[in-house]
Amino acid sequence: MTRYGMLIDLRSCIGCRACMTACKCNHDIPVGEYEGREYYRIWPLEVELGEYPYVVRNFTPLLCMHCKAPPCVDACSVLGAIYKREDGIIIVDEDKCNGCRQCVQECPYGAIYFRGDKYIVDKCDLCIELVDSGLQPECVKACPSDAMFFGNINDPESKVFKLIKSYNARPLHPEYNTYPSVYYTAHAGRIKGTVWDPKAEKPVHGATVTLEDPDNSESFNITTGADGVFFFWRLKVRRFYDIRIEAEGYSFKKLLKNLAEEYVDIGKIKIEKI
Amino acid sequence: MGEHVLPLLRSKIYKILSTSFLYQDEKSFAYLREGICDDLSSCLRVLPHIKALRKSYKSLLMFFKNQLSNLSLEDLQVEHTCLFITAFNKIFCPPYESIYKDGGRRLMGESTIAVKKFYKKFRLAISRQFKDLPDHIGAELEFMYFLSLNESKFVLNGRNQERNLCIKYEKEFLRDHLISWVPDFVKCLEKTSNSIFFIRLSRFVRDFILEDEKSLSNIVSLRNKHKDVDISSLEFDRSGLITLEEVEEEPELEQWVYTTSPERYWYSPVQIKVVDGRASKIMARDDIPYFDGKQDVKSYACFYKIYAPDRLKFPLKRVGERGSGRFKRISWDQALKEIADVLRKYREEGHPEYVGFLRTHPPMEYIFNHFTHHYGSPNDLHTSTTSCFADGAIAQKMTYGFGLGGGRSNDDYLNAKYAFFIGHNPLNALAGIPGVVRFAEAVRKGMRTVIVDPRLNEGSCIYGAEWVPIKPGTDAAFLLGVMKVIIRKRLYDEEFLLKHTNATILIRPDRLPLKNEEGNYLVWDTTMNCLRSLDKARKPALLGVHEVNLDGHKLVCKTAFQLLVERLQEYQLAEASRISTVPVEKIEEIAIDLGTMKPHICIVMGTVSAQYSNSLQYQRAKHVLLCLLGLVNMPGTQHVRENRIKLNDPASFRIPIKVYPMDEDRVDYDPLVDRFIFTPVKNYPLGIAQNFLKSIMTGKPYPLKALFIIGSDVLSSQPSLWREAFKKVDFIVKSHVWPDDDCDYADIILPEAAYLERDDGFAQVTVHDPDDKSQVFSFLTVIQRTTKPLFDVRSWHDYVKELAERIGFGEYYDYTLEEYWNYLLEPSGIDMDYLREHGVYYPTPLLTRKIELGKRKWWPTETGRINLYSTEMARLWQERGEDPLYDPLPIYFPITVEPKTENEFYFTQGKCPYHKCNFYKNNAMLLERYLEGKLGNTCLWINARRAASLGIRDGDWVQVESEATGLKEKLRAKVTEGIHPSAVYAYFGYGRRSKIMDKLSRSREGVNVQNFTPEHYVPWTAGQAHCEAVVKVYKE
Repeated sequence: MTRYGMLIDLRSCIGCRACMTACKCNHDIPVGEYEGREYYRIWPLEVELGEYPYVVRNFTPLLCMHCKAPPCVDACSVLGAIYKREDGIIIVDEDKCNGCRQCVQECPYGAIYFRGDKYIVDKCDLCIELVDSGLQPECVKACPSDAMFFGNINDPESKVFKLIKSYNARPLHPEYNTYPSVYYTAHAGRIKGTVWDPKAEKPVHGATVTLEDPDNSESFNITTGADGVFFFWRLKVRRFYDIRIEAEGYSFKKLLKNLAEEYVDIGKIKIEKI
Repeated sequence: MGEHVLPLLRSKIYKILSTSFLYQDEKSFAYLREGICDDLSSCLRVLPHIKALRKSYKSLLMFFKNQLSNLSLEDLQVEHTCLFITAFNKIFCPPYESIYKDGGRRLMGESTIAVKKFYKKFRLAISRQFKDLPDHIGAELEFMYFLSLNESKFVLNGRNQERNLCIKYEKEFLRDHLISWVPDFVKCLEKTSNSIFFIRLSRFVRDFILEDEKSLSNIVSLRNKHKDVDISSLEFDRSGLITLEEVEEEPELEQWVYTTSPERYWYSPVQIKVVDGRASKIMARDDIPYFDGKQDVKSYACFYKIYAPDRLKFPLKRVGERGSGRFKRISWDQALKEIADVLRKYREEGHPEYVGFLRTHPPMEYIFNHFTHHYGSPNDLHTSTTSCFADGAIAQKMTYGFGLGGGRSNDDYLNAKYAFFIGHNPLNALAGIPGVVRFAEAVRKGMRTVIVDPRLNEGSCIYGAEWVPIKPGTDAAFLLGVMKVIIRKRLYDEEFLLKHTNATILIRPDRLPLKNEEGNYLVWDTTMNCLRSLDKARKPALLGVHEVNLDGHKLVCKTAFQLLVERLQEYQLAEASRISTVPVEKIEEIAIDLGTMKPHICIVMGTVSAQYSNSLQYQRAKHVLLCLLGLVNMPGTQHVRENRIKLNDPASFRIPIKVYPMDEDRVDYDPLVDRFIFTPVKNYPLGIAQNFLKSIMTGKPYPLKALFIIGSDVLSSQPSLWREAFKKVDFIVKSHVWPDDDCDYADIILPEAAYLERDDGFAQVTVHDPDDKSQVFSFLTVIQRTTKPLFDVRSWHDYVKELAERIGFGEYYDYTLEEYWNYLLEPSGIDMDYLREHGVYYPTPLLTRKIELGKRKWWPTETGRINLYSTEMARLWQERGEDPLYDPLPIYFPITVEPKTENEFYFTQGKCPYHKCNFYKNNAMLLERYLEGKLGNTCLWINARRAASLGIRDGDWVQVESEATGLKEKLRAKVTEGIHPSAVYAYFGYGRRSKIMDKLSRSREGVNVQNFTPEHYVPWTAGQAHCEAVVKVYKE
């Protein structure tokens, strides 16, 4: 059974927003907003993490996840105004929609928005006119860094399936239990920590911190500055890292950390003066 | 009363109503005054509608009786212009259906096309002299006149089927079109304007059409007997039509037209889908190498620019005071006559130089250069030079002898392991589609990205990007620190320095280069242990101190590299760290990485460099770093742009004759600047806009008395100063596509055609083969009109010849643009017809050229090598009292301002990558918040810790006060961890105060941040130091 879905490779996304403007332009969606939600079928999520100066910016393009268990379809007050096709694409029927906006409230991803001028809801439909003719959706075509892929995620031979597997991509917020068809690779993982001398009650300047990924033989190292902080910018999430701390006059320290999330602050790591 | 009388009277009423919405001239105004009331009442009296219309009709009559006599023709014209044409002071109610019915407040919407189709059924279209849109209320009302007139004629001739047909369409048109939007139109007028005439008139229209529809529905329909009638075979009475005219039957046209998207730096060939005269889709071409169907964000938003409701539509003449924004519409004939009269006067008096031309740079601007030459004014400049790229351009010239070309697909990301951004936002600097594709590939393969910036900019979302915060204005200090470590650890590319740079030349104690009698630069040849000329020495010493006998004096000379090393040795890392606030460990880490990963490094150049008064030296530091690491023309680094398809030189087409001997120099002439950067570039008048300002205010060296502004947005750059200047000048003409702050001060406004509506010839694009950066290839891409220009706009190609004729030198325009373009294309073997048909031309096999660094032996500098040590600058340094600005080696000196108190900050500004420059200020789509980011762009970025100490929370309104300019403005605070504690930041491009810009354009929000920076013209580079200001920030 065909199930259409997407893979968004966040390692390639540079936040240029071409997908968003291409979608709006080609679907002739006008400028406007309703109660703060602008008329975008694909829209940006920008998050700043960390404290100065160890701050990162994460960018994620969001769109309808075309869930397997869509809460919007269940919430629809008119039968069939929003429905799921056999191939998994969720579509709004403009003629049936009465503008009650129950689906807008129920969607946990915020994918559906209300068109104040037409008094109906709207959302991404994976460009069914193009897809049904064998072409790719607008956003996929527009992405200059080749960060988006579309295809049959049930077909093991399809490119999308292979990439999802090899990149270990996952949907966003699986705890919503809606089983999305849109998969994302992870943002870069970051670890921050402070090398600390508990007796002198101050950070250790000039310690060498080495981070090693035991499975992939990747290794990074940093010398701490006056604030004793080490910060690694480009790690992979859902991995274990060996952290080794060496400082002159101090005993050697080693720990193992699982980088579960995108920005982990492991706080003060105490090392003993010899 | 015959049955034909009713529709005839209705048609008369529709005609009257239609003409009242058109722009009045003397004749129609006289009718308005004398005849309209009687005609209206005589028609209405007999109609059954009169009962329902009594109230609104009486109110309209009252206006005519009591107030019309107080209104002059000009008053009414101004009212019409302010309400319907310009978006005057937020009372804009454009009388077009698509504004109210289709979303987004755009012109040429779906309903416009529907109305157009409706007219087409009757073989009608907008007449050529009406020059407006089909869904204009005047046109729609006249269409009803047409239908009811013919209804009456058919009744008279006993043709009942045709009559029923007319009634059917009248009902349909009223229901589907007029009635669907006129009530909203009336509401808009009532809410925003206080024009009694138009409010009462449109109320009457609304009531009339509602009544009319009802009365039509009451007519007993004769059982659809009109079904057999074929409209196309009918003869209609088309008398009396002004806005509509008869046209031939035409099939619906849907075509894809080739053109080029000129969105900055991308110059990519595109196809525009045009359906029935309306451009709706843009698609990049995927059949051209390296442009795999990708586009820049701004290209997709181009339709919002063209169909913006407040775009300039007709020539306008100022009626109020300068700055009031009150205009009236005039004809092109009148406009050009007035302009020609003024320009001719100055020319005949012998002072054509009193007229200054301020321009932007479209691709084929030879025609205009031709104009200014023959007119006789040398004062012609591009306003962007000094506010954009002057410092960077001079630094490049001082290093390589010419520009490296900025960030235009020169960087070889495919082979890069490290991308280093300093002073540039990656999203702005990553120009060129092939560049982005390869950049992303490189990131996936593990390329490190390091961004040095006082602010965590938009490009920081690149995977794994590292942000190195730096204090504003201290980039040179940081770079010197990096160079120090590279030299100390011997990580520099010695071979590169020896072979390609002038690092080996000997420098005298007075800092000038050592030369022999023939004028050759001297080095110390280690094989022969003596002085030898640079070209002849076999193994010149890179380092060394040598005593030399010159003219009987003993001089201690050092190699250029020795001088650099000594300077860096004295320079403490701790000092570099203290000044720039980048930790010592970080400087070392970056230096070691750069030194070990070379040459697979991209240090992105970018273009905008006018930031600080020390920008020049920091740019030089970047280039010297490139030299140390050997990063020019190597895989994984910058590449020198070369090679173009051979075309004829525009300047050889018709040699412009200087009719009036230009005895006077340009008013912005600065001999120093001219010598180095503004040496006559034939088709590209660079210039110093600040000096235009000075000449207007001080009258020295002579006063500029008139200004002709084309496409530039002058007031956005130095608003308070230019406003004063505008008030002093006698005459201002502004020629542009969209309204902006300058327009309020113009005497005549000329509306221009937007780029999709213009023929601009072609552009040559040179791209590096992204898979092999040592290969370049060029192609030509056509820039042609895709749709007919709306309203009465003209491309300035179209009016410049007429203007020349009126002034008195039209004989020099003895050619057509087509001839000019074909002349340029001659050597390539193709012509404009070929380009129009195919869209692009590139010779096959691709005209590629391999750049081999080893073969490149000569650079256009004084020494013929890349200038590690700029001998040109050394001379200047001496002449200018040893000012560090001209130091031949990179040096850091602090900027002129520094925050001192607890609530003072460096005020930095920049451009949002999604709408960047002035071209996009009117683009409602690009100014939407989802493109801008959280809190929108009209806010002030402030460091979280500093904000907390000042009691400022996210979203609070704060006062921003600039002591230098004396201005105080309110901005919303965006509290973020992602900015250096000493700085605040705000985006440029907001705070427009033009009274004729529509509210939909959010660039009217916020504040023009240029108000905080004083006018700062850096000597020699003439760069404007945009980020050199200190402001106080506090909560009121």
